[in-house]
Amino acid sequence: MAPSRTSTPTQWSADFDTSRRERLFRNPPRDHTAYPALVDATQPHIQSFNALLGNGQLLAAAIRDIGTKSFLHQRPEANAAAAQDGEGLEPAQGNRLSLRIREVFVEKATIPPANKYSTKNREIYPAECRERHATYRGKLRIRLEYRVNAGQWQESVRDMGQIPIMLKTNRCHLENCTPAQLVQQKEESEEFGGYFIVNGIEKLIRMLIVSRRNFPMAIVRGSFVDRGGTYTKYGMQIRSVRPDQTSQTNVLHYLADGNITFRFSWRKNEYLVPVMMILKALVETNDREIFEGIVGNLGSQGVENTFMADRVELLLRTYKSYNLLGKARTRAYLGEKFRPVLGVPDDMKNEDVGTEFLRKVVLVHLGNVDVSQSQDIDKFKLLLFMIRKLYSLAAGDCAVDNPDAVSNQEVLLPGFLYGMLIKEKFEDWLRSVQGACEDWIRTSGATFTDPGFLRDFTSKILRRTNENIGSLVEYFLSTGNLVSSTGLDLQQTSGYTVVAEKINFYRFISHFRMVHRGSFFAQLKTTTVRKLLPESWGFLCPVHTPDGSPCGLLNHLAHKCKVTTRDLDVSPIPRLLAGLGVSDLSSASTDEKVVVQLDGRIMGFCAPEQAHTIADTLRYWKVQGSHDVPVELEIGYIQNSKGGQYPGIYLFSQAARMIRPVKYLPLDAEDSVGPFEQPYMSIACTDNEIESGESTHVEYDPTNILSIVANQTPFSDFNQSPRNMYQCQMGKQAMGTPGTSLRYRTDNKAYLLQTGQTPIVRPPLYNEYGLDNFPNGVNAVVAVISYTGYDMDDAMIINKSAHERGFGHGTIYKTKIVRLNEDRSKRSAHAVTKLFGFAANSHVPAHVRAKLDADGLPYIGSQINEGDILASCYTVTWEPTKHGFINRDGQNELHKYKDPETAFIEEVRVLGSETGNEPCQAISIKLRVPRAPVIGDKFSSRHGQKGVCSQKWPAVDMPFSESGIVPDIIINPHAFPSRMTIGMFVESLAGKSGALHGLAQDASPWRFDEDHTAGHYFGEQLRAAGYNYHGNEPMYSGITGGEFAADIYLGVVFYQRLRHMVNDKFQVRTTGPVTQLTGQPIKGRARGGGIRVGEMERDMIIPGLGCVRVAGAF
Amino acid sequence: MAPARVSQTELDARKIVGVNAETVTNVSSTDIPGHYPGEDHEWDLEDFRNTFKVKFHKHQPFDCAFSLIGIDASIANAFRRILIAEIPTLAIEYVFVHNNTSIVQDEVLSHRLGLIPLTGNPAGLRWLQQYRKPTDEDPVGSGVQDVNTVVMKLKVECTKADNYDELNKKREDDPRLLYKHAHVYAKDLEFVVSGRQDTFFSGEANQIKPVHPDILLAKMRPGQCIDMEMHCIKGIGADHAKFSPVATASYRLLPTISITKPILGNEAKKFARCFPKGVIGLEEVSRSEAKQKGSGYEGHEGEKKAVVKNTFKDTVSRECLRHPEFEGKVKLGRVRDHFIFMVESTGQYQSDELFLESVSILKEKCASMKRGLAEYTR
Repeated sequence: MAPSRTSTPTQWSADFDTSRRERLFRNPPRDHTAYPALVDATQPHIQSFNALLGNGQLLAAAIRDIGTKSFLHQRPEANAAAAQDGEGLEPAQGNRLSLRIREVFVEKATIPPANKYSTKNREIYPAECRERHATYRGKLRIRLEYRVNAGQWQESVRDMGQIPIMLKTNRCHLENCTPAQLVQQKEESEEFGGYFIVNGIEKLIRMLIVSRRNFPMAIVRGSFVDRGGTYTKYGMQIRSVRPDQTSQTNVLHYLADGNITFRFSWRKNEYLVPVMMILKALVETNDREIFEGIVGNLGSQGVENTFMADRVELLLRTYKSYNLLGKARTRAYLGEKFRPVLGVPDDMKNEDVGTEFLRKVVLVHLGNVDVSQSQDIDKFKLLLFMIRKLYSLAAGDCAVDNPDAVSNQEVLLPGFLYGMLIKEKFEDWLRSVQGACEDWIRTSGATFTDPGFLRDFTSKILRRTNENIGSLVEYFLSTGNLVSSTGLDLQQTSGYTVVAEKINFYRFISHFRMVHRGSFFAQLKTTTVRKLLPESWGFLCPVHTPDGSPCGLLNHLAHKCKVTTRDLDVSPIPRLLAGLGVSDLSSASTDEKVVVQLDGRIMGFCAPEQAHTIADTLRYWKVQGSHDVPVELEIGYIQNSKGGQYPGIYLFSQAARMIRPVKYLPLDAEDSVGPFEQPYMSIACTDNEIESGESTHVEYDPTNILSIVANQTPFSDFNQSPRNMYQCQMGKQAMGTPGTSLRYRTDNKAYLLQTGQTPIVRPPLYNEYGLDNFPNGVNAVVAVISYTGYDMDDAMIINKSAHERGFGHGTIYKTKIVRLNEDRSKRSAHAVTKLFGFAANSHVPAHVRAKLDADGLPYIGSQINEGDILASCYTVTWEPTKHGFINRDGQNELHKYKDPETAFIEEVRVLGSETGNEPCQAISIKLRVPRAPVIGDKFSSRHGQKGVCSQKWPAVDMPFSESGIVPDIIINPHAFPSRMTIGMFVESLAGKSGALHGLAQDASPWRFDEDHTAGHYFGEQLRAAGYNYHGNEPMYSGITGGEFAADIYLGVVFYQRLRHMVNDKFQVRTTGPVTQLTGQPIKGRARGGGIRVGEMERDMIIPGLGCVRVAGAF
Repeated sequence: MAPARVSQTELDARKIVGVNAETVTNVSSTDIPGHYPGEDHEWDLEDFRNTFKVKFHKHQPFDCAFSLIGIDASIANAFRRILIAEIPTLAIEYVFVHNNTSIVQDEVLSHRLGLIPLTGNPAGLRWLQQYRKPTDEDPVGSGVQDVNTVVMKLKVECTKADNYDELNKKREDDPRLLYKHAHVYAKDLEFVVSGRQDTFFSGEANQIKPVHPDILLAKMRPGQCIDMEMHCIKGIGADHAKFSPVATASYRLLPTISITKPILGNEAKKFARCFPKGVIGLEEVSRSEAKQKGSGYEGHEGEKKAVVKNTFKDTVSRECLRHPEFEGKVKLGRVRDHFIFMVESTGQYQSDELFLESVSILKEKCASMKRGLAEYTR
């Protein structure tokens, strides 16, 4: 049976498809993956990383924004003279060194050139890094240009260390690998990347919620009042994003007297500037222009708004006191004030410093490199609009924009953050060159113009700087701590990265879909940020959030939600808008004119009635694909309302927005909808709910609002909602199948369920996401009966025979690393002090010889217990005369296995160094711990019904049914009334009939209603099989042999074995270690300590038991 | 006091367990089953001989069904329990792994081996004695001897097929053709004769071998091999499920259906559909029935009426109780002392043998109980 030449189908049915899966598994496709949905899941991660060097060229944009750095060297006396001068400095008084980065290169992972041993294949693949506990990284290089004074630009390509590379991106060897090739490279056939490998650990950068870019948000915040005497709670905040995805937040503050100040943060410090000063510095303007720009032209309705007119007048009057006339003088004034913090060369003119200030700080999304005059006009216009909106907010004419609603948020993508970090490290490095130059001048006594300088610059001066940016980036990934001089306009300094734990596949995949609100909000006492708001519909899953402290802060994307990773081509939009009647004429009265913005740029204004037409037309065009309007354009049309959100048309086309597909009814085609526009649209939930003349869109499927994991809960619409949340957590803790390439992984701890099954009851999405490749539990025959007394309080009984046949059997794989060079500080080939094996002529006891081979490493497959020997090594010194290592003391050092559990040696890996010139200094031993279920292990159904195994009950004592079926699991009926997990009953029915008829039952929520009930649908199936319609069965007691007086609910439910096992938790001691000071038992399970019986526990024992003797013991 | 006279209808009613829509009534009629105050129900062998009946419904070597009529649930249940848990059978217990480079872990492969049902000369299997494991009190146990341990071997190595290159060129992807021993089956187990075992287990037909030769044990690829030695011992199902001689051994009570009021016409058809085929039959109302006053059949001559044909086939789904039109017209129940046994053997012994074995074990237990009592009262 030769593999077919046709393309691998990607459509999946809701059936078991066993043979198709088997074929796919045996012969991984040679064209493309069979599970495109899985690939889509990590796209935000991969595409955002690709944007750094691929199409988006974010790093190129970043070095453009950094620009040229110049350092001045001058004699001290010249410096003093210049200080007196005040207005700028003469350039002739010093020598200038200019530096700029022209290009950034990142290479794929390869063996370093120092390694002369491997000649054939020098590529390093991710699997090797996992196994070797190394970092998957590629060389980062830059083309640095420098010149002295106005001389020729010199060029040097600098090696900036190695930066970790995200898997399956355009700098990864696996980028376009087919499943067949992936398997060749020891990966999962469905490997989807999106994470980094740092020291063998899989790490990913979490997606983070930040406020929506380039949209002036009306904010009311009590803490604004604390900024000063006249400050009020009103503010207008805009997160302005540069093309390289770094951002600068600008805030306008409304003062009690009607004045407005402009606030920004620069290098973690806050500064306040009168807004008028910014306005006047941006363009050559006059008071009338500003007045009309805010209030409206004479004759417009805006003039009648006396609240605003009065305040603008005051704004203009109070500014008079600065007595700064004209753009140039204003810029010079700003430049003088901000010169110390901007890091500009000393000889720059104040006016140029002011320009630099505007470039770097003010509304940077409208121009951050070589700002043109028209860009300054754009900034000016947007600032005027912000002032107008702020007054409107203060007057109570418009509502605040909720910063906690998804409509005003976007996602900080991992790749973008990575780029921001690299950019900052570049900038820091460029700054650090100055210090190195000064050191050189101090020691050599020469100046920049000396010929020796250029000679020494690359070889000596740059060497003195820390060029290893790669290690800084690696530090960020391995710790998640952001070490930053600017703070990157972010609210937290730690917690950016998490380990992509592969406990099971659900857990692994949900890491890539998770969005965190920011650790700043975790400490907040108010719960407003944690609320589930209606705006989240379809973007963030309402179910999939943990309970406890991160509840509502750690969300997961709905499974159909995508995040844009590139800016759209919106060049035709201005022309189209002009054609639709958008003009420059504005007014403070929104009844007259409303704004039209594109990515935070004012495109013009139009009448409110016109706005409706414009929005509708644009939407029609974009879905149709005509007029070059991209379908992913977000058209936020906010209608006029009394006291509602500030009206206008806000178009968004840039990256980092959440979008999702819905059907556009007029064209019956797919539309992309963003969270900003969604609250103002009428999207029917189902086809039946479409109201003609009202609905414009309809959902493709209501299940689109749930995340991947939440979608796997069968019949979740029958359950009480918190139960579904619990299941989302427990599904991720189940012992399942972490992957199929377990042989090439060295996880610290990996859990494997031996006999996983496909659930009989599952949604069609189960197949689409290929979850059968990673089974997560088993179908169990479950009887709901209070039978033995051992099933109280969520305990459950397992059939002993089922257990003996392998029910829920699991294995834990642990990896232990034995390193000989423990300190790992600066080592070279000759720093080797130990080697594996036995010293020559040393005495090796028989018990050691039995466990270890001649190389000092353990035998594969051998059993080891606590205290057994894992490896042996001996000390050596380098003997140049013999050109080898020799041992002098004849002693062997033995490494012991310290865990209390019996394990088997599964694999031993000998880890070499990357350069290949060192003897083996580390081994990695994978141990296998079999974990059959024991009393005290935790199990759960998929409905938040967890329980602990309390007995393994003999099969003869278990109840049996009419047909001789003995349940695998018995649970107590009391688990249901208060928890109301009706979904579990329905699953039981569906599972039973599915097992009887051989059906894969569709368990999607919202497939049944009052007229077509699930109970009837599955009841009829059961009836057809000769079973009771309600799922009950008469049963006989296995102990007495008599029939029960009640019928028992018996069905098939999918059970997960959770990773919490007593063997990892039990804590018992008689005597043992005690603390030196008090002689009391020490704390901690790992150290053999005891559990404290505290005062309250004591209180309980004494009167409760009335034990005089026990009391005496206290 | 003379024993009270009880009418036959009362006696019959006592035998019925009532099955209602949601409840089961009259599960065990008295505190001491089978005994009623003021009545004499002393067990009598002659009575038992006369009333007890065994009826076979299905008699295949490894699958049989039969009824035991006229015994108490406790006795029937005792047979069931013994069948599952107390008849000793032979299964692999100790696995000595010399080499295992397949991807199946040692302990998992050993577990799979243990669950393989074995068969061989029945006389020989009976001749084998139970192996006593060494314990703390008895560090030697019975020792490994030919009478208590059967040795088996599994030695397979996966290699490329002779015509591998040719197949590979044809892009053949079935590993069973490409490689030798790509799949390890139960038939690869080899029996090793030791000691006196040759008197029983010599020859193809008599040797110890798996019941089903095609049980898949492991999958391998070239370069992997399995080399194991196994010791099979006799054990009981109570110790481990692999020693249980039956796949299921279970019983149910004979259902009864009594139509108390006539069910006619379309209702009768619907009523019949509430049961598995063959339980309810449709008959025409005869003239004499139609004439009978108060029977409910007046004026319905020639119409179809539902009659109970064969309650043995009923699954007691109680579907008929769900429909309001049958309310009060039908009464479901079961016969308390009619046990329909289903014994499905895993293959080491035949089903009927197993039942007889269970009887003899119960007998032995009784004898030992009796001995114990005698000793206790002495």
